[in-house]
Amino acid sequence: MSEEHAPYRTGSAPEHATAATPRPLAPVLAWLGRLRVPQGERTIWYYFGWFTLFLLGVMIATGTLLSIYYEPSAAPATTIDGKPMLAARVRAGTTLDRYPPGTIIPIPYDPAGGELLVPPTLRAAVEVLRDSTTGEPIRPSGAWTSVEWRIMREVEFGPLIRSLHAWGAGMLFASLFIHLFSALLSGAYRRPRRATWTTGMLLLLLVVGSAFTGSVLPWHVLGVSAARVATGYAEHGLPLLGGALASLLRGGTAVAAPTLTRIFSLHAILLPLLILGVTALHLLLVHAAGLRHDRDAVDGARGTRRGARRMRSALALASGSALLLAIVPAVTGTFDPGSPYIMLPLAILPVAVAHLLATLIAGSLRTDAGPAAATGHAWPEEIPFHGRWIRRDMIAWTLGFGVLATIAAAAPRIVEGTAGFPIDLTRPTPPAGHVRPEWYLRIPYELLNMLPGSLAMAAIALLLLALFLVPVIDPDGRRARAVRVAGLLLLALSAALMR
Amino acid sequence: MADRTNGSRRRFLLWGGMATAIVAPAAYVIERYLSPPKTLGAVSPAGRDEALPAGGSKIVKVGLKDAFVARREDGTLYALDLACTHAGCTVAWNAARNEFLCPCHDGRFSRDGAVLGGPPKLPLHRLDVEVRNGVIMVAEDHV
Repeated sequence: MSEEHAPYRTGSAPEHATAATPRPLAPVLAWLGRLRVPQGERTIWYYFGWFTLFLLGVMIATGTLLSIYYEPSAAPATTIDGKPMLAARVRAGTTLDRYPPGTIIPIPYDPAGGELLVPPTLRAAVEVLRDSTTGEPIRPSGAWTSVEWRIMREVEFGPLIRSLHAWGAGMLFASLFIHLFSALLSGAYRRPRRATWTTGMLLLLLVVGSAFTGSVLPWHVLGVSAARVATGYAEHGLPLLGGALASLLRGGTAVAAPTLTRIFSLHAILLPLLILGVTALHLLLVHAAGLRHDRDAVDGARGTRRGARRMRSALALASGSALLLAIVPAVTGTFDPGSPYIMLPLAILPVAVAHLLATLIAGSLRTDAGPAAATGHAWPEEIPFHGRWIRRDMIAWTLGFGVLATIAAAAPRIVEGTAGFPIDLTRPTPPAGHVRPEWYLRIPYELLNMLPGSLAMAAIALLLLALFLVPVIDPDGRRARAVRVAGLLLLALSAALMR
Repeated sequence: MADRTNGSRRRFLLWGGMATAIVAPAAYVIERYLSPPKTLGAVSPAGRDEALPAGGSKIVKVGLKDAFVARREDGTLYALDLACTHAGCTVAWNAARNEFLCPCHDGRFSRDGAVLGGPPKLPLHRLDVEVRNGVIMVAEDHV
């Protein structure tokens, strides 16, 4: 590997590494101090890639915590001493602290006598959920009970961790979409960053797959409907491979217990491993090929003017996001983090503020490296990873996580109405009404709704193929205008479909 | 040199303080999240009411606990958690001595759960008991 393309380059050791007092961590800090990363501080778009990566870390951490209590079982739930359970709804007007009216809770019962095995006050406050056609009681699955009951009701801070995971997914997609469109519209996919773009697109697919599989895991009406619709479309809309793919996902001819096991395995093991692997590759390629935005940073007076313009852009983005966050709830009457018009500004605002802060704290942000000619590396300027880079990006991450934690605490993730009902595979599935997936999964969902099955699948496949092939279509900027127009059209289409 | 030391200390305090402000709440949340969940108190059927005569008793499972359900001569029902209040071993009924005996440290309790001897200081815990539709129900706790 040549010096120009080494993934981690080393420079001269910083001053503090040669301090006289011996310290046990000194070699580690010295190594971190020698580690250089490309600097892209003068553009706000630089942050969204790292912010997406940070949110990926949040998803892995919260997902690991959730997996401690999650039970990937579609079989009827039982208590720890093996008693079967029924689904019951807390009656309206009930004033028990732990059980707000309308909450659906699993209740143990005595199969011999049919008695609900709960204390009298709770027994009087609930009504057993019954199948609307047969009148038989609904038995919730182990998966539903572990999510909607154990994590949401029994575990301390369970709702916070689940909300961090759910809203974190929304924020991750918001950041990811901004990152993708900024790369597309600024031409960051061109040589020498073509492979970086390809790995980024792969990551997008893997993250969408992870979001879809995650939505099935609670095994409620919404999740099971999503699994049925997705595998159904694959089976009937995808030629040749569709049937086999649907069968592989379901683990049989219909969505049932084996489907949940497979989906869990994909969501908790295979997809995270693939995402980590492709992310590592993406980062290595970023190091090898540099960032598109660095070019302007050392472009003399022109770069300075652009830098000032981008500062104004960041200010405009921050103000626009804040304005949107004030207007949308006022118009809709709710502050719904499940709406893209809330989540997108929620992702942009901390990043824009961090960018402004970072630029204003000039002392800690001046680059300490020379221009491209002096470094001789693939990117024009670089800064130490340890210290300057970590400090600067920590501002954005801390602000972003603060926003995420605040909405997670203030607006717990709840699937309301019939969509949140538990699935009992021995009973007919209750009608879910007009169930829509999360906003970030709505592009394929709406295309499938608007177009006939095969045509919709072809449109999705073409869209993805076009995105993958962008670096081939415009490898050197000669078709920049066409790609930019197409990118803007795609942006408009995405905004319309996600609404 | 002194300035450099002060600057270094200030920087350490600043970054250390900020890191603590972020890490400490997260550590607290994770510690609470990982502690055992507060489960709903178990309720278990203990057979038909008429099947337990005055002076009669039986041992049943309530959740993961072993419980002693008995009817006094006056007809009232009561239930005891059979975990010894000294070290948590399960006490056993000794018919010859007409008392509960703990096999671990020789704690002794009366049929009503009162301490008769040995290291235990507290009587056996009472469990809630009621008759519902002719069935005796024993509960761990109230809602």
